[in-house]
Amino acid sequence: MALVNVKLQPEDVERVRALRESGVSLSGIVRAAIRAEYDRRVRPSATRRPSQVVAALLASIPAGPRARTGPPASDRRAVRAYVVAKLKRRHP
Amino acid sequence: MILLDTAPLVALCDERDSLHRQALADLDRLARRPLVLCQPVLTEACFLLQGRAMRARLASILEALSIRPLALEDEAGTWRRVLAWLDRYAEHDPDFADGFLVIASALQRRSRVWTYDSEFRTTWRREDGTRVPLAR
Repeated sequence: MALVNVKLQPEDVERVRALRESGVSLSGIVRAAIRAEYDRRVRPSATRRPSQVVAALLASIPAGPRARTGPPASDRRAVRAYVVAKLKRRHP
Repeated sequence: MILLDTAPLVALCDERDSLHRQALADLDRLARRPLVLCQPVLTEACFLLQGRAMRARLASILEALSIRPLALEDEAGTWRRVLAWLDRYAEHDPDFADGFLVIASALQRRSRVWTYDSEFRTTWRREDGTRVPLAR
C-alpha cells in the first residue's frame, strides 16, 4: 500500500487536528476525494453511464444544507412567484 | 436533439430534488442524443439554483454532459414568434421559457423536449397546431 504526503498550511493543520479529535478518519476522506476527482477528471465518461458522471460530480461539489431554497422546479406557478419576488427585491 | 426544460436540469443538479432520481434515469436513456439548452431555461435554472456550489454543479454538468446552447439563425424572429405564441396562449398564463421551447421545437423539427411540465402534453401546441414531441 502506497503513502501520499500532503503539505499543509497551518490552518489546515488545525483542521486536521480537529477532525482527528472528532474521530474522523483522514485516510477515508483522502481516499474518497481521490476517487471522486478521478471519476470526475480522468475516468473516461464513455465507460460510465451519464447518471454516474452526474453522481460523481455532485459528490465532488457538496451543496451544504442551505444551498437551495427555491420552490420545486416542476411547480410552474411557484417558480413564477419566486422569480417575481426575487426581481422585485432587486428592482423595488 | 433533446431540448432541456428547467425542471430536469435543476433536478440533475440537486440530489434533494424530488425529481432527481427520475432525471438520472431519464438522462441515461436520453443522453445518446445531443443535449441542447436554450437561454430562457438556463436563466430559470439560475434563479432556482442558489449559491456557489449549486452554480458550480450546474457549470460542471453542462460541461461533463456536453450540453450545448441552442443555435438560432434568426434570434429576433424567434423572439417575435415566442411573444406571439405567448399572446395566443395568454389565458393559460405560460412562461417565456414554455413559449421558447415550443418555438424551438418547431424550428428543430427532429428535436424532442425533455420536460416534467404536464402542460406540454395537455395544452401547449406548436404554431401549426401539432403536438410538441416529448422525450419521455
